[in-house]
Amino acid sequence: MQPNNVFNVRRMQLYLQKHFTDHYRFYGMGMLVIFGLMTGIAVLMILVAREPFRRMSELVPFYYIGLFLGGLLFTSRAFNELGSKEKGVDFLMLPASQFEKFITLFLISSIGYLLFYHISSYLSFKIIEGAQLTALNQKIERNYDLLDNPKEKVYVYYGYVILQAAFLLGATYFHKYSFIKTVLSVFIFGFALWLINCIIVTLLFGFGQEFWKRSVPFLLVAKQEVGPSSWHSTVYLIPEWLQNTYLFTIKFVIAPVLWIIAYFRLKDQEI
Amino acid sequence: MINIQSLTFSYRKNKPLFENLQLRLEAGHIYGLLGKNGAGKSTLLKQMAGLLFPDSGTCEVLGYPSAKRQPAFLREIFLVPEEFYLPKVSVKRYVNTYAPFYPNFDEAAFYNYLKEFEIPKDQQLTEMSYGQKKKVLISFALAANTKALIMDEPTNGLDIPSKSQFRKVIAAAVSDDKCIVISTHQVRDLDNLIDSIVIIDDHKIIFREDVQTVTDKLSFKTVSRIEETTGVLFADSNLRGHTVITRNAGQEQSKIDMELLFNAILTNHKPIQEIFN
Repeated sequence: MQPNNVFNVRRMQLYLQKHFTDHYRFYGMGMLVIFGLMTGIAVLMILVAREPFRRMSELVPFYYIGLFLGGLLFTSRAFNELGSKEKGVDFLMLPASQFEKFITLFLISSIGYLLFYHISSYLSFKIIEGAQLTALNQKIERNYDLLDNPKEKVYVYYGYVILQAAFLLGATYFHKYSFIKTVLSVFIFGFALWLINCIIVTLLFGFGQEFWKRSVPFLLVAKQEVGPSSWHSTVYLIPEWLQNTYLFTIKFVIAPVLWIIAYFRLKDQEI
Repeated sequence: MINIQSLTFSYRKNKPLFENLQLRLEAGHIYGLLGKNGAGKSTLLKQMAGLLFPDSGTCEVLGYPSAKRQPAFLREIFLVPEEFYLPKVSVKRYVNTYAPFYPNFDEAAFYNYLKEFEIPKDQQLTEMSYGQKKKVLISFALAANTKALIMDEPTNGLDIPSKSQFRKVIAAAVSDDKCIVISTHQVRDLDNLIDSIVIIDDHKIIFREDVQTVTDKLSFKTVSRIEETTGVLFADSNLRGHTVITRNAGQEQSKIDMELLFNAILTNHKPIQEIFN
């Protein structure tokens, strides 16, 4: 019988099993290191320095650092096999579709990591709180809600998803030192965008008042009017429909586009 | 089975490795892909396996374009690369993980091949030598029962008894619906095994004949005085005298000397080629 050449649940399950057979040591070590670092450092600070965490907001920066650093490092290793000829042959010749292989690695590096990280963070927080209560008899005030109040905090996660997609794409381009090379590429891309913005702003507003210094790229330009006794700024903002388009693009377009490119890059891999 | 049409491929621009290459390999044969180091054997095998894509032309296996690497294609082809990867697990775990991808995998045959190669089935792959690992991979490749089996320098790293075991298991594994392609530069390793010869040199296929046709048209013999032998196409001297290739005018039956034929074709293939045209 002719098999489905794009997607088959059983085949993907087999590939997942195969992937974990190859990588369980790395995943186990990685999980232990992340959980150990998150919990160990904070508990040591409480027990050795006897300095309590009064509010949850004092712990939140560690959470965000772990989320971004761990998640992006982990994602950049998604196609690590392609960095070695032997492993690359094994990866590409295994009878599963490129789509199944991509989806498996995508799910592990995105949803898999987020799931592990949040369970780990929750447990870590509980241990830190328990240690603090036992050693210093002091609770941690819940003053920070990750997704609420103000609601803009949710954009941290949109940012994470976009960066995760960029690092997944980077992993298909750079098979060795993928993390460092992707960081560099993201900086170069950001710098190029900023440069284009400077050129456009200068063309539109002229060079005289160095408008490029007083602009938020592709969003607004501030113009200072200096009078004899006072000064005021006029802000030129892009129209609302364009702002909404930006928001829509950030929320729903950039990451999927990067994922799709990463998938086609994987399909085009040669050894 | 394997059909390569007008294949052009280059690693670098303006330096083509293959230009307009044509090759058709049929089921029921064991092909020996012979060539010097760097002749392009591994590249050709990678094209067949879909690990490299043609710049132009096509490479199809069982009608599937190999470059698409579709599961229907991948489950009917097995590549034993020269340098390979095996995970750090036991033989049993390896089989349990990889075998379900191959619908015709024969587990009993796999353990029989291991027995033939004298590999203990309870051993961890990490505890094995390179040669032992290679034998596990060859056993798996044969047990996978794929229609196309391609092997890149499979005898590299095998000791002398293992090379003989290798020939034995491969000869037993061939069937009418299988096409086995073995690439090597150690042509003696394939003596008595292959039934078709493909010689690649300078990125071109310069010779492609089955062994029967070769022995029908050429005679391989050892003579003490070369001057007394007429129609010598190629000769090589050794301690026992001279091994020579002559035209087989009298329809004598001789045993093919693969290395001699290989050297003859690489040295000056035109007179021999003319006999086959």
